[in-house]
Amino acid sequence: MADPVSEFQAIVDTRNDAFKQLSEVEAPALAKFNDLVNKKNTGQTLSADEQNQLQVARSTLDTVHHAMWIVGQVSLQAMNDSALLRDIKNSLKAVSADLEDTVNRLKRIAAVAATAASVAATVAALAEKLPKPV
Amino acid sequence: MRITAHMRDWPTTAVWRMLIATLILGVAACSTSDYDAPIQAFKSATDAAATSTGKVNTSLAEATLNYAVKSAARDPANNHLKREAKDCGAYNPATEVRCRAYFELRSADGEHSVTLRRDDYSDPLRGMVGILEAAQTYATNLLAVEQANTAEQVNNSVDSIQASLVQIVKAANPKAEFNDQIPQAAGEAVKWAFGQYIESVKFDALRKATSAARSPLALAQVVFKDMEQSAKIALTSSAMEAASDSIQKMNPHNESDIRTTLAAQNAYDDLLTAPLSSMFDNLVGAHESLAKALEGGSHLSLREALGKLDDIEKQAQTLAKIATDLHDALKK
Repeated sequence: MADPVSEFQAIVDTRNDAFKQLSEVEAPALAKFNDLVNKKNTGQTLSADEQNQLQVARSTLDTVHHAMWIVGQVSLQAMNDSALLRDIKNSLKAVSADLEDTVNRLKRIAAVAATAASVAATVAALAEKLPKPV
Repeated sequence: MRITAHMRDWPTTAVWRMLIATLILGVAACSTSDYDAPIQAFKSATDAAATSTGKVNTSLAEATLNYAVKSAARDPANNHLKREAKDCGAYNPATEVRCRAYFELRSADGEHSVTLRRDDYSDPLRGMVGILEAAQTYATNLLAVEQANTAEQVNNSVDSIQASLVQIVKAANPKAEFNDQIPQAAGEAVKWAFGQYIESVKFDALRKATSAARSPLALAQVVFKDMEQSAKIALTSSAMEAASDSIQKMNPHNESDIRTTLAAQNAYDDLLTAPLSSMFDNLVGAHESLAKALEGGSHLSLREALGKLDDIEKQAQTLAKIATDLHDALKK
């Protein structure tokens, strides 16, 4: 079984590979889409063929982006469930627990001093009741 | 009196004062209170990072659900809402009954598919949020150790013991000559010894904790970058669509249309460049400086830590604004 870091890296690599492939499909469609909308937005009228190409480019983009969304979602879910995230969280919790132990240790030190003070006060109260030297 | 006679042999008051002053200065030089400002700032920055990430989580949840619902309505053949196979029967006291619906989304070529369950569209950044919550607890405990007022409590007890000792001596012999400064000086020495010990316990705990937290925080920094990249596609999808729609439909002769289109492109760009993980970079950087300062007593590292922590507050505000903008955009 892979270690948590390698397992996490595998999720990232798989996602990046999928995105690389999908962006190869996205790039020409995006270039065509941008080219045609830029032409339209300079005030020129698009021919029927260009109108059709724009629709096809947009449709291709929607399809590719949907696939990218799915890949992103699959990788996010895998990352959320990964052993690495669980390990990081547990490590931080362990450090926090050690700090809590220190706070308790400090409280115990204060408690010991308080007990000593209480004993001294009791002894002082008893001493007051002792017969005084003449 | 044997006690007072013995104490009279101690160094004079002036010498005592010098000795005590030297010892107190010695403690002050390595006091954990030097780390109060960066530890407090680290705690505030962790809180700000957790809060703003929580807001992004909420916005991402809305964006994810919004996308799933739209996709299902557009193309139910590939994207649809389904029930778990054996769910949604009548309530049954003898067995647990659930009614869990989930989205199934598929790409047109059938190569990619995902199942979106409730957690996925209600708490999509749960991993990041969980780590930030753990970091918040860590920062809280770091501050609790640094600010523990044990020395003050011990000093009060020592003062009380001193008063009792004077009381005991006077009770034993009301006529005894008593130099109050002598037990006071002895008390200061006891306080110093306790103070040194308490400081060493606190310092050791802070140093060990920051050292141990370095590795998980460094890993979290890498993880957050990768998670940000995965989250961005869902976070930006509606803005991307709005940007494409507006530029495709824009009337190039209409001022209002041009402004709306420009705003849509900028809104998409803002989301693409939103500083989700860079805030955590600063948090980890500041923690690293704090750990270094505790290791080697470097005030330069402390200043570096404080500088980075200042940036986090601003990044957290930016992130919270982006989350709010996205939330508002999805409502339209």
